[in-house]
Amino acid sequence: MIRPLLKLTLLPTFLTVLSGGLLAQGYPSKPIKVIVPFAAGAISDGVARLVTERAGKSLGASFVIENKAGANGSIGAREVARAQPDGHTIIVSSNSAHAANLYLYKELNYDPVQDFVPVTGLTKNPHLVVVRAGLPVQDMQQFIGHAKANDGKLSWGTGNSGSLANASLLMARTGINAVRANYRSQPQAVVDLLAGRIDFMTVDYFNISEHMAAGTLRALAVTSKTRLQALPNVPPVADTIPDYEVIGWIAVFAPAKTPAEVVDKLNKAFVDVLNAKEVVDHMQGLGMLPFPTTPAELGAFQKQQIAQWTEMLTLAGVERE
Amino acid sequence: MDLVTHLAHGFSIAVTPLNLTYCLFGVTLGTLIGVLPGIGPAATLAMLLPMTFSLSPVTSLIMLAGIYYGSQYGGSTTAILINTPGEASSVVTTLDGYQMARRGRAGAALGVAAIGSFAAGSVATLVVALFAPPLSSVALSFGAPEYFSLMVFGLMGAMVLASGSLLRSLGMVLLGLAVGLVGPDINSGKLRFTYGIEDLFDGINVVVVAMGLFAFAEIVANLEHGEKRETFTKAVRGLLPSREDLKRIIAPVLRGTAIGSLLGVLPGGGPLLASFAAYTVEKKVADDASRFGQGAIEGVAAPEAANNAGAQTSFIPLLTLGIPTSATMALMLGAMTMQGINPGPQVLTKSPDLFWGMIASMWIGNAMLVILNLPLIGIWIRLLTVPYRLLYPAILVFCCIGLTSLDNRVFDVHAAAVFGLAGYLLFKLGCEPAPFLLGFILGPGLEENLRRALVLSRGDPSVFITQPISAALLLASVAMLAMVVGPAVRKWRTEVFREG
Repeated sequence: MIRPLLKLTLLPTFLTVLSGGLLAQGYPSKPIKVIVPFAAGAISDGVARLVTERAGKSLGASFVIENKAGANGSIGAREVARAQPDGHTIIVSSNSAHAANLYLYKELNYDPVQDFVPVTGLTKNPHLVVVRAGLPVQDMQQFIGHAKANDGKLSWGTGNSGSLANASLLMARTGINAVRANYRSQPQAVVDLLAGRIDFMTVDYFNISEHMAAGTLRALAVTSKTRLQALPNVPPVADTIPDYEVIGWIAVFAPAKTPAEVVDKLNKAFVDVLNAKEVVDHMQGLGMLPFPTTPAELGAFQKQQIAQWTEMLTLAGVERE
Repeated sequence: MDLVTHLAHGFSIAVTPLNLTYCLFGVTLGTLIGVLPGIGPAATLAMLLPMTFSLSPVTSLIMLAGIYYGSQYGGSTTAILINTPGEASSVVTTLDGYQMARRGRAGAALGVAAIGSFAAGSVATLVVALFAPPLSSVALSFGAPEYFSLMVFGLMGAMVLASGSLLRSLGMVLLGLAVGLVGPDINSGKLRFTYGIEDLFDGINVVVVAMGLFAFAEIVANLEHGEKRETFTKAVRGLLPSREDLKRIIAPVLRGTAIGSLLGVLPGGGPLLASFAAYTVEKKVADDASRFGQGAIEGVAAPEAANNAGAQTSFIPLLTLGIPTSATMALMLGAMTMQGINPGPQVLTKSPDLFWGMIASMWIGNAMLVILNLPLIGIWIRLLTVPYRLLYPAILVFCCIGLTSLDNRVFDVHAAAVFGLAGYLLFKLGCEPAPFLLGFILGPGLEENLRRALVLSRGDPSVFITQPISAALLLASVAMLAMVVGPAVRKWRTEVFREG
């Protein structure tokens, strides 16, 4: 029983290798599997669902999202690295699986650069530098001054590697010395910030929009170089610390050797979606910046990010596994 | 009256045909998975999450919530009739519920369980409506020391309540704590006990452990007895409890509701702990504690009221703070997030339709459940009379579907099989899996909060006794331990569990 089945599945592989160009014309010929290497409900999952629903219409194919969470995105990424490079399996990945993991895991079972071809960026997700309502500071200058005057007395919280890297770099650049408390997730740290048990943290807008509206937390700055539409009064950290930019990002990659024509087709479909006004507004409302790129731009960006995440995680003192 | 206006608004949303349909679907499915041992609400929710994308937020939450509290009803049916908890939270119900069934009072036990659950559900719905806003500030006063002490208290309770030797249950708790440590260390990110197995890098999913220990192991253990199980599916008649029964259960139901409502709100609490606590309290206040374990009707009414109340009030921290208190609530949080709703204090003001619609639907759903579980009890009983050779493979298949739907990993099925084997071994050794599971669930939080409390106090351990809530919880834990170790109580404890 098994052998004939195997032959049947191997036959298309053979054809694919032979006729990449021909294939692109008929692409997509079946539903496109989208691996999201994080749990359903995670931010990358939400972004994937938002953009694939629309891109599917213009491509005339349906996208099927499959959540393959685990090991900081490694498990899903490895699956895509080994998938058929015919454009019918792609990954909606992030700075974890396609940059930070190179530092985090000594033995990563996939190569975030060699095993993939970049398709397009989707979003940049900046963090906000947020302080508890009772902390007597109104902007970054005052915050840095206050933290230095109270050397080692302030506490900060972190609930994921992104916020850990972000705050670690911020403190290294400003010379702030404060005590770190670790949380299992960002919302838990936010609760302690609300209750005043910790003094500051960096966190994405989505997790605190409700509290900012209620005035129970205060955002001092945003870690992207551009402001968020939703928070026109919150300046970039770069206004205080020149060139500072730390962002999480979500982007689409396909397995290496996916034909260029197919990559271009996918790129165009996604970029069109990212330029649609409703999509831009929706993303901005959640505190994300749309991030359409060419495949080459994403490739260059990824290399720069790998270097930056390595620096930040080293500064944060995260142990490699 | 604001509350009345809000609730009226909620009902106007909950009674739309679409929402009523999904509410009914949710509670029916909930009862079904409640009756079937092994498959629980967390796995079911995980399976149904993809379906909610096509629904509006309020409709999908009404359905998902229905599954959760519906399973609390269904779980008791199995507990009473075949001495197997349909849900983890109905473990306690087996103690006296099954004994009632053995004494020919299966009908009354089922009736009391449903009525107790309904009364508790109605009250708890009101509790959610009344206290969700003010209670958000109580939850806010829980910092790391308070959480730590609460978890110590919970684990102590699990040990004291386990049947058999105290030493064995202590061993089980510790084993659970150890298995809970698998995965990344919270402070350094260093992986512990993963042996290079990538699927262990994030730790072991609680559903995997629960399915292995409870579903798989149970099935294997039951197979030993062949088809000759002692069930009381034919002996069910007279579902309406007598007047004397009713009089007897009023106070236990109210106490159970109060305990359940309180423990449901607290993280780490939830239905399981609530039912255990309610049972202990009933034994404490009873004139004749020796009746417990022999078919005491209070031993069914109180825990059933408590687990249903706890299931409902566990929505309070989720809706007011965005804090999930259990695996099921974490999935609820995921469902809300996917719908673009950020659970937090603003849900109430920003999405009043969602908040009040869901609360109103809880009451409607509870009313539906009474109908599903009393007049239609025959259908569920028939499910239990399906021969093992059909029922067991079916349950195993459902379990495996649930397991693979967690993270789309076959590894989880294998891991559950390992826990199934371990569970069977423990069963043979006379060790209870419940303390293990509690240790496993609470372990990571216990460690995390201990370390965080010490970090934030700059290494000063006195925070645990200078913070009033934490101090009270630790004192209660010590008192509980002292009672069990004390000779008088030990004797009592042995008597109580002799039957179980």
